[in-house]
Amino acid sequence: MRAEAVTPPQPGTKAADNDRELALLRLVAQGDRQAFETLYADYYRRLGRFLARLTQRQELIEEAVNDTFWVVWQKGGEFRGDSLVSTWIMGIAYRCTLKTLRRAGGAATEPLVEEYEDTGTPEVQAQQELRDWVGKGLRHLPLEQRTTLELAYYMGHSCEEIGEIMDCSVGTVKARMFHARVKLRNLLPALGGMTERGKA
Amino acid sequence: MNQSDDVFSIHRRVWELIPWVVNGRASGEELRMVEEHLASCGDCREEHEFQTRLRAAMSAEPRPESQADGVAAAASLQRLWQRIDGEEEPALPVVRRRASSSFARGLLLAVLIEAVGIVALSAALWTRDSPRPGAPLYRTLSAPAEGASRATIRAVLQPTLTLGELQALLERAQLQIVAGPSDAGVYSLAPQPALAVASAQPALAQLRAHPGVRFAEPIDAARPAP
Repeated sequence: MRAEAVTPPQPGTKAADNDRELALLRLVAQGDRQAFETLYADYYRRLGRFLARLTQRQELIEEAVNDTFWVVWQKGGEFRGDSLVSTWIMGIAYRCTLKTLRRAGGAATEPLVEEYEDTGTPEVQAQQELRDWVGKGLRHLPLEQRTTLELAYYMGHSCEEIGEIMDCSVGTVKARMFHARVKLRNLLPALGGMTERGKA
Repeated sequence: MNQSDDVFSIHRRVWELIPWVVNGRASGEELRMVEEHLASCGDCREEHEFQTRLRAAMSAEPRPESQADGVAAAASLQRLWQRIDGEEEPALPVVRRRASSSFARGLLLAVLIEAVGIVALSAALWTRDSPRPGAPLYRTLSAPAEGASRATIRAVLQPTLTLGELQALLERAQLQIVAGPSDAGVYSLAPQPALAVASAQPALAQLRAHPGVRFAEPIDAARPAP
Protein backbone atom coordinates (compact mmCIF):
# COMPACT_ATOMS: atom_id res chain seq x y z
CA MET A 1 0.00 0.00 0.00
CA ARG A 2 1.19 3.47 -0.74
CA ALA A 3 0.86 6.31 1.70
CA GLU A 4 -1.43 8.22 -0.68
CA ALA A 5 -4.10 5.57 -0.14
CA VAL A 6 -4.72 6.81 3.42
CA THR A 7 -8.37 7.72 3.88
CA PRO A 8 -8.53 11.51 3.73
CA PRO A 9 -10.62 13.41 6.25
CA GLN A 10 -13.84 14.85 4.89
CA PRO A 11 -13.97 18.39 6.16
CA GLY A 12 -17.37 20.02 6.15
CA THR A 13 -19.47 16.88 6.33
CA LYS A 14 -19.67 16.78 10.12
CA ALA A 15 -20.18 20.52 10.25
CA ALA A 16 -23.02 20.39 7.73
CA ASP A 17 -24.69 17.55 9.64
CA ASN A 18 -24.28 19.50 12.83
CA ASP A 19 -25.85 22.67 11.40
CA ARG A 20 -28.88 20.67 10.36
CA GLU A 21 -29.15 18.84 13.68
CA LEU A 22 -28.65 22.07 15.62
CA ALA A 23 -31.49 23.72 13.71
CA LEU A 24 -33.72 20.72 14.49
CA LEU A 25 -32.72 20.74 18.15
CA ARG A 26 -33.54 24.45 18.48
CA LEU A 27 -37.03 23.69 17.17
CA VAL A 28 -37.33 20.71 19.51
CA ALA A 29 -36.50 23.05 22.40
CA GLN A 30 -39.55 25.09 21.39
CA GLY A 31 -41.74 21.97 21.48
CA ASP A 32 -41.73 21.31 17.72
CA ARG A 33 -42.88 17.72 17.36
CA GLN A 34 -42.13 17.43 13.67
CA ALA A 35 -38.52 18.46 14.22
CA PHE A 36 -38.29 15.94 17.04
CA GLU A 37 -39.64 13.17 14.83
CA THR A 38 -37.13 14.06 12.12
CA LEU A 39 -34.27 13.88 14.59
CA TYR A 40 -35.64 10.62 15.99
CA ALA A 41 -35.89 9.09 12.53
CA ASP A 42 -32.32 10.23 11.75
CA TYR A 43 -30.96 8.46 14.80
CA TYR A 44 -33.26 5.49 15.30
CA ARG A 45 -31.50 3.00 13.06
CA ARG A 46 -27.86 3.93 13.65
CA LEU A 47 -28.43 4.27 17.39
CA GLY A 48 -30.09 0.86 17.33
CA ARG A 49 -27.15 -0.60 15.40
CA PHE A 50 -24.70 1.02 17.78
CA LEU A 51 -26.56 -0.28 20.83
CA ALA A 52 -26.79 -3.75 19.31
CA ARG A 53 -23.04 -4.01 19.88
CA LEU A 54 -23.63 -3.40 23.58
CA THR A 55 -26.59 -5.68 24.22
CA GLN A 56 -28.36 -8.49 22.40
CA ARG A 57 -31.76 -7.72 23.91
CA GLN A 58 -33.92 -5.83 21.44
CA GLU A 59 -36.29 -4.55 24.11
CA LEU A 60 -33.35 -3.00 25.99
CA ILE A 61 -32.19 -1.34 22.78
CA GLU A 62 -35.58 0.26 22.26
CA GLU A 63 -35.73 1.26 25.89
CA ALA A 64 -32.32 2.95 25.66
CA VAL A 65 -33.22 4.71 22.38
CA ASN A 66 -36.46 6.06 23.87
CA ASP A 67 -34.82 7.01 27.17
CA THR A 68 -32.25 8.92 25.12
CA PHE A 69 -34.86 10.80 23.11
CA TRP A 70 -36.99 11.42 26.16
CA VAL A 71 -33.99 13.34 27.53
CA VAL A 72 -33.48 15.08 24.16
CA TRP A 73 -37.11 16.28 24.30
CA GLN A 74 -36.83 17.41 27.91
CA LYS A 75 -33.36 18.97 27.78
CA GLY A 76 -33.09 20.19 24.19
CA GLY A 77 -33.29 23.78 25.44
CA GLU A 78 -30.29 23.27 27.70
CA PHE A 79 -27.92 22.40 24.86
CA ARG A 80 -25.46 25.27 24.60
CA GLY A 81 -23.61 24.19 21.47
CA ASP A 82 -20.35 23.43 23.27
CA SER A 83 -20.07 20.19 21.32
CA LEU A 84 -21.58 18.67 18.19
CA VAL A 85 -25.24 17.74 18.57
CA SER A 86 -24.34 14.14 17.70
CA THR A 87 -21.77 14.07 20.52
CA TRP A 88 -24.37 15.39 22.95
CA ILE A 89 -26.99 12.85 21.85
CA MET A 90 -24.51 9.95 21.89
CA GLY A 91 -23.40 10.96 25.39
CA ILE A 92 -27.01 10.77 26.56
CA ALA A 93 -27.40 7.45 24.74
CA TYR A 94 -24.31 6.02 26.41
CA ARG A 95 -25.47 7.03 29.89
CA CYS A 96 -29.01 5.77 29.28
CA THR A 97 -27.65 2.48 27.96
CA LEU A 98 -25.38 1.92 30.95
CA LYS A 99 -28.33 2.58 33.25
CA THR A 100 -30.55 0.19 31.29
CA LEU A 101 -27.87 -2.52 31.23
CA ARG A 102 -27.16 -2.16 34.95
CA ARG A 103 -30.84 -2.59 35.68
CA ALA A 104 -31.08 -5.59 33.36
CA GLY A 105 -28.03 -7.34 34.86
CA GLY A 106 -24.65 -8.44 33.54
CA ALA A 107 -25.90 -11.01 31.05
CA ALA A 108 -27.51 -8.18 29.06
CA THR A 109 -24.17 -6.92 27.75
CA GLU A 110 -23.68 -9.66 25.18
CA PRO A 111 -23.88 -7.96 21.77
CA LEU A 112 -26.60 -8.79 19.34
CA VAL A 113 -25.75 -11.39 16.73
CA GLU A 114 -26.83 -9.75 13.51
CA GLU A 115 -28.83 -11.65 10.97
CA TYR A 116 -27.73 -11.06 7.45
CA GLU A 117 -29.80 -11.28 4.37
CA ASP A 118 -28.79 -14.12 2.12
CA THR A 119 -28.22 -12.07 -0.99
CA GLY A 120 -26.52 -14.64 -3.13
CA THR A 121 -23.40 -13.45 -4.91
CA PRO A 122 -20.10 -14.87 -3.60
CA GLU A 123 -18.64 -11.39 -3.08
CA VAL A 124 -21.58 -10.25 -0.99
CA GLN A 125 -21.54 -13.50 0.98
CA ALA A 126 -17.81 -13.07 1.64
CA GLN A 127 -18.45 -9.55 2.94
CA GLN A 128 -21.22 -10.84 5.17
CA GLU A 129 -18.96 -13.55 6.52
CA LEU A 130 -16.30 -10.95 7.22
CA ARG A 131 -18.77 -8.77 9.12
CA ASP A 132 -20.01 -11.78 11.02
CA TRP A 133 -16.50 -12.82 11.90
CA VAL A 134 -15.50 -9.32 13.04
CA GLY A 135 -18.70 -9.18 15.07
CA LYS A 136 -17.69 -12.36 16.88
CA GLY A 137 -14.26 -10.88 17.61
CA LEU A 138 -15.83 -7.73 19.04
CA ARG A 139 -17.84 -9.82 21.48
CA HIS A 140 -14.61 -10.70 23.27
CA LEU A 141 -13.84 -7.08 24.09
CA PRO A 142 -14.92 -5.50 27.37
CA LEU A 143 -17.89 -3.14 27.02
CA GLU A 144 -15.82 0.07 27.21
CA GLN A 145 -13.38 -1.06 24.51
CA ARG A 146 -16.18 -2.28 22.28
CA THR A 147 -18.01 1.03 22.72
CA THR A 148 -14.88 3.05 21.94
CA LEU A 149 -14.27 1.13 18.74
CA GLU A 150 -17.91 1.34 17.74
CA LEU A 151 -18.05 5.09 18.34
CA ALA A 152 -14.94 5.57 16.21
CA TYR A 153 -15.61 3.13 13.37
CA TYR A 154 -19.38 2.93 13.13
CA MET A 155 -20.41 6.36 14.36
CA GLY A 156 -17.29 8.15 13.09
CA HIS A 157 -16.50 10.15 16.24
CA SER A 158 -13.11 11.68 17.00
CA CYS A 159 -10.98 10.77 20.00
CA GLU A 160 -12.02 13.97 21.82
CA GLU A 161 -15.72 13.44 21.07
CA ILE A 162 -15.55 9.88 22.41
CA GLY A 163 -14.02 11.29 25.62
CA GLU A 164 -17.02 13.61 25.95
CA ILE A 165 -19.52 10.88 25.14
CA MET A 166 -18.04 8.36 27.59
CA ASP A 167 -17.18 11.06 30.13
CA CYS A 168 -13.51 10.13 30.31
CA SER A 169 -10.19 11.69 29.40
CA VAL A 170 -8.69 11.54 25.92
CA GLY A 171 -5.92 9.44 27.49
CA THR A 172 -8.49 6.87 28.60
CA VAL A 173 -10.00 6.77 25.08
CA LYS A 174 -6.54 6.18 23.62
CA ALA A 175 -5.79 3.45 26.15
CA ARG A 176 -9.10 1.69 25.43
CA MET A 177 -8.49 1.96 21.71
CA PHE A 178 -4.98 0.60 22.16
CA HIS A 179 -6.15 -2.46 24.13
CA ALA A 180 -9.04 -3.10 21.75
CA ARG A 181 -6.66 -3.03 18.77
CA VAL A 182 -4.12 -5.34 20.37
CA LYS A 183 -6.82 -7.80 21.38
CA LEU A 184 -8.45 -7.80 17.94
CA ARG A 185 -5.08 -8.32 16.25
CA ASN A 186 -4.80 -11.50 18.30
CA LEU A 187 -8.42 -12.56 17.83
CA LEU A 188 -8.62 -11.81 14.11
CA PRO A 189 -5.11 -12.42 12.79
CA ALA A 190 -6.49 -13.44 9.41
CA LEU A 191 -7.89 -9.94 8.89
CA GLY A 192 -4.27 -8.87 8.52
CA GLY A 193 -3.46 -12.14 6.71
CA MET A 194 -6.14 -11.43 4.14
CA THR A 195 -4.43 -8.16 3.43
CA GLU A 196 -1.12 -9.93 2.88
CA ARG A 197 -2.77 -12.46 0.58
CA GLY A 198 -4.48 -9.64 -1.24
CA LYS A 199 -1.12 -8.07 -1.98
CA ALA A 200 0.45 -11.32 -3.19
CA MET B 1 16.75 12.97 22.49
CA ASN B 2 18.82 11.26 19.78
CA GLN B 3 17.63 10.39 16.28
CA SER B 4 16.52 6.82 17.06
CA ASP B 5 14.42 8.14 19.96
CA ASP B 6 12.79 10.55 17.53
CA VAL B 7 12.00 7.76 15.07
CA PHE B 8 10.59 5.60 17.83
CA SER B 9 8.51 8.45 19.20
CA ILE B 10 7.07 9.25 15.75
CA HIS B 11 6.33 5.55 15.20
CA ARG B 12 4.42 5.39 18.50
CA ARG B 13 2.54 8.58 17.75
CA VAL B 14 1.59 7.40 14.26
CA TRP B 15 0.49 3.98 15.54
CA GLU B 16 -1.79 5.76 18.00
CA LEU B 17 -3.22 8.04 15.28
CA ILE B 18 -4.04 5.29 12.79
CA PRO B 19 -7.70 4.75 13.88
CA TRP B 20 -8.42 8.48 13.59
CA VAL B 21 -6.86 8.60 10.13
CA VAL B 22 -8.91 5.54 9.14
CA ASN B 23 -12.17 7.11 10.36
CA GLY B 24 -11.33 10.45 8.74
CA ARG B 25 -11.15 12.43 11.97
CA ALA B 26 -7.39 13.14 12.18
CA SER B 27 -6.32 16.74 11.62
CA GLY B 28 -4.53 17.75 8.41
CA GLU B 29 -1.23 17.94 10.25
CA GLU B 30 -1.73 14.51 11.83
CA LEU B 31 -2.68 13.07 8.47
CA ARG B 32 0.48 14.42 6.85
CA MET B 33 2.64 12.99 9.63
CA VAL B 34 0.99 9.57 9.30
CA GLU B 35 1.29 9.53 5.51
CA GLU B 36 4.94 10.42 5.68
CA HIS B 37 5.64 7.70 8.23
CA LEU B 38 3.61 5.02 6.42
CA ALA B 39 5.78 5.48 3.35
CA SER B 40 8.74 4.09 5.28
CA CYS B 41 7.20 1.82 7.97
CA GLY B 42 5.86 -1.58 6.96
CA ASP B 43 4.43 -2.33 10.42
CA CYS B 44 2.33 0.83 10.45
CA ARG B 45 1.21 0.22 6.86
CA GLU B 46 0.03 -3.22 7.81
CA GLU B 47 -1.74 -1.86 10.90
CA HIS B 48 -3.37 0.83 8.78
CA GLU B 49 -4.68 -1.81 6.40
CA PHE B 50 -5.91 -3.97 9.27
CA GLN B 51 -7.79 -1.04 10.81
CA THR B 52 -9.20 -0.02 7.42
CA ARG B 53 -10.62 -3.51 6.95
CA LEU B 54 -11.92 -3.57 10.50
CA ARG B 55 -13.68 -0.25 10.03
CA ALA B 56 -15.16 -1.37 6.70
CA ALA B 57 -16.53 -4.51 8.33
CA MET B 58 -17.90 -2.58 11.31
CA SER B 59 -19.47 0.28 9.41
CA ALA B 60 -21.20 -1.78 6.71
CA GLU B 61 -24.92 -2.15 7.26
CA PRO B 62 -25.96 -5.82 7.51
CA ARG B 63 -28.91 -5.20 5.21
CA PRO B 64 -30.52 -2.27 3.39
CA GLU B 65 -33.03 -0.22 5.31
CA SER B 66 -36.48 -1.72 4.83
CA GLN B 67 -40.05 -0.72 5.43
CA ALA B 68 -40.02 -2.98 8.48
CA ASP B 69 -37.40 -0.68 10.00
CA GLY B 70 -39.66 2.28 9.33
CA VAL B 71 -42.62 0.57 10.96
CA ALA B 72 -40.52 -0.43 13.98
CA ALA B 73 -39.26 3.14 14.32
CA ALA B 74 -42.77 4.52 14.01
CA ALA B 75 -44.15 2.18 16.66
CA SER B 76 -41.27 2.95 18.97
CA LEU B 77 -41.78 6.68 18.46
CA GLN B 78 -45.47 6.35 19.25
CA ARG B 79 -44.62 4.67 22.55
CA LEU B 80 -42.26 7.55 23.31
CA TRP B 81 -44.96 10.14 22.55
CA GLN B 82 -47.33 8.30 24.86
CA ARG B 83 -44.75 8.47 27.58
CA ILE B 84 -43.90 12.13 26.96
CA ASP B 85 -47.56 13.16 26.81
CA GLY B 86 -48.42 11.09 29.87
CA GLU B 87 -45.67 12.71 31.87
CA GLU B 88 -46.13 16.25 30.57
CA GLU B 89 -49.83 16.58 31.17
CA PRO B 90 -49.83 17.32 34.92
CA ALA B 91 -46.86 19.70 34.98
CA LEU B 92 -46.88 21.35 31.60
CA PRO B 93 -44.32 24.17 31.43
CA VAL B 94 -45.86 27.64 31.12
CA VAL B 95 -44.55 28.23 27.61
CA ARG B 96 -45.83 24.92 26.31
CA ARG B 97 -49.19 25.34 28.05
CA ARG B 98 -49.70 28.64 26.23
CA ALA B 99 -48.62 27.12 22.97
CA SER B 100 -50.85 24.13 23.42
CA SER B 101 -53.92 26.21 24.24
CA SER B 102 -53.53 28.30 21.11
CA PHE B 103 -53.07 25.18 19.01
CA ALA B 104 -55.47 23.02 20.96
CA ARG B 105 -57.41 21.93 17.93
CA GLY B 106 -54.30 21.03 15.99
CA LEU B 107 -52.88 19.16 18.95
CA LEU B 108 -56.06 17.21 19.44
CA LEU B 109 -56.03 16.25 15.78
CA ALA B 110 -52.39 15.23 16.06
CA VAL B 111 -53.16 13.04 19.06
CA LEU B 112 -56.05 11.43 17.20
CA ILE B 113 -53.85 10.72 14.20
CA GLU B 114 -51.20 9.31 16.50
CA ALA B 115 -53.78 7.10 18.17
CA VAL B 116 -54.76 5.68 14.80
CA GLY B 117 -51.08 5.17 14.04
CA ILE B 118 -50.57 3.37 17.32
CA VAL B 119 -53.38 0.93 16.58
CA ALA B 120 -52.17 0.27 13.06
CA LEU B 121 -48.49 0.06 13.77
CA SER B 122 -48.84 -1.97 16.95
CA ALA B 123 -50.93 -4.48 15.04
CA ALA B 124 -48.26 -4.64 12.34
CA LEU B 125 -45.58 -5.17 14.94
CA TRP B 126 -47.48 -7.83 16.82
CA THR B 127 -47.56 -9.98 13.80
CA ARG B 128 -43.76 -10.02 13.75
CA ASP B 129 -42.71 -9.88 17.39
CA SER B 130 -43.27 -12.38 20.13
CA PRO B 131 -44.30 -10.94 23.50
CA ARG B 132 -41.35 -9.65 25.47
CA PRO B 133 -40.92 -10.01 29.20
CA GLY B 134 -40.91 -6.64 30.87
CA ALA B 135 -42.31 -4.87 27.83
CA PRO B 136 -44.79 -2.06 28.53
CA LEU B 137 -48.32 -3.30 29.01
CA TYR B 138 -50.00 -0.80 26.72
CA ARG B 139 -49.90 -3.12 23.70
CA THR B 140 -53.52 -3.99 24.29
CA LEU B 141 -55.25 -2.15 21.50
CA SER B 142 -56.60 -4.95 19.33
CA ALA B 143 -56.06 -8.59 18.65
CA PRO B 144 -53.54 -9.37 15.90
CA ALA B 145 -55.08 -12.73 15.05
CA GLU B 146 -58.27 -11.18 13.76
CA GLY B 147 -56.34 -8.49 11.88
CA ALA B 148 -55.05 -10.27 8.80
CA SER B 149 -58.39 -11.84 8.02
CA ARG B 150 -60.04 -8.39 7.98
CA ALA B 151 -57.65 -7.06 5.35
CA THR B 152 -59.33 -5.67 2.27
CA ILE B 153 -56.35 -4.09 0.49
CA ARG B 154 -52.78 -5.07 -0.23
CA ALA B 155 -50.30 -2.26 -0.73
CA VAL B 156 -46.60 -1.76 -1.32
CA LEU B 157 -45.23 1.58 -0.15
CA GLN B 158 -42.43 3.66 -1.56
CA PRO B 159 -39.33 3.61 0.66
CA THR B 160 -39.46 7.41 0.60
CA LEU B 161 -42.85 7.56 2.33
CA THR B 162 -42.34 9.16 5.73
CA LEU B 163 -44.02 8.17 8.96
CA GLY B 164 -46.06 11.37 9.00
CA GLU B 165 -47.25 10.86 5.42
CA LEU B 166 -48.16 7.23 6.14
CA GLN B 167 -50.16 8.23 9.22
CA ALA B 168 -51.96 11.01 7.36
CA LEU B 169 -52.72 8.72 4.41
CA LEU B 170 -54.10 5.95 6.61
CA GLU B 171 -56.20 8.48 8.49
CA ARG B 172 -57.61 10.00 5.30
CA ALA B 173 -58.39 6.62 3.82
CA GLN B 174 -59.71 5.42 7.22
CA LEU B 175 -57.49 2.37 7.07
CA GLN B 176 -55.16 0.59 9.42
CA ILE B 177 -52.29 -1.83 8.90
CA VAL B 178 -53.37 -5.26 10.03
CA ALA B 179 -50.48 -7.35 8.74
CA GLY B 180 -47.16 -7.06 7.00
CA PRO B 181 -44.87 -6.04 5.68
CA SER B 182 -44.38 -9.49 4.21
CA ASP B 183 -40.98 -10.56 2.90
CA ALA B 184 -41.97 -8.89 -0.35
CA GLY B 185 -42.83 -5.66 1.50
CA VAL B 186 -46.60 -6.08 1.14
CA TYR B 187 -48.85 -4.51 3.78
CA SER B 188 -52.36 -5.75 4.50
CA LEU B 189 -54.73 -2.90 5.20
CA ALA B 190 -58.22 -3.01 6.66
CA PRO B 191 -60.91 -0.42 7.38
CA GLN B 192 -60.72 1.04 10.87
CA PRO B 193 -62.76 -1.19 13.22
CA ALA B 194 -65.38 1.48 13.93
CA LEU B 195 -66.36 1.60 10.27
CA ALA B 196 -68.76 -0.71 8.52
CA VAL B 197 -66.97 -3.00 6.10
CA ALA B 198 -68.33 -1.31 3.04
CA SER B 199 -66.56 -1.04 -0.27
CA ALA B 200 -62.78 -0.76 -0.24
CA GLN B 201 -62.94 1.32 -3.42
CA PRO B 202 -62.75 4.90 -2.01
CA ALA B 203 -59.84 3.96 0.23
CA LEU B 204 -58.20 2.13 -2.65
CA ALA B 205 -58.50 5.17 -4.88
CA GLN B 206 -56.88 7.36 -2.22
CA LEU B 207 -53.99 4.94 -1.84
CA ARG B 208 -53.47 4.69 -5.58
CA ALA B 209 -53.51 8.47 -5.95
CA HIS B 210 -50.74 8.90 -3.38
CA PRO B 211 -47.19 9.14 -4.79
CA GLY B 212 -45.85 7.26 -1.73
CA VAL B 213 -47.76 4.10 -2.65
CA ARG B 214 -46.16 1.89 -5.23
CA PHE B 215 -49.28 -0.18 -5.78
CA ALA B 216 -52.49 -1.05 -4.02
CA GLU B 217 -54.94 -3.78 -4.93
CA PRO B 218 -58.15 -5.10 -3.40
CA ILE B 219 -57.88 -8.46 -1.70
CA ASP B 220 -60.03 -11.18 -3.15
CA ALA B 221 -61.99 -12.50 -0.16
CA ALA B 222 -61.35 -16.03 -1.34
CA ARG B 223 -57.58 -15.60 -1.04
CA PRO B 224 -55.74 -15.40 2.27
CA ALA B 225 -53.92 -12.19 3.16
CA PRO B 226 -50.10 -12.31 3.17
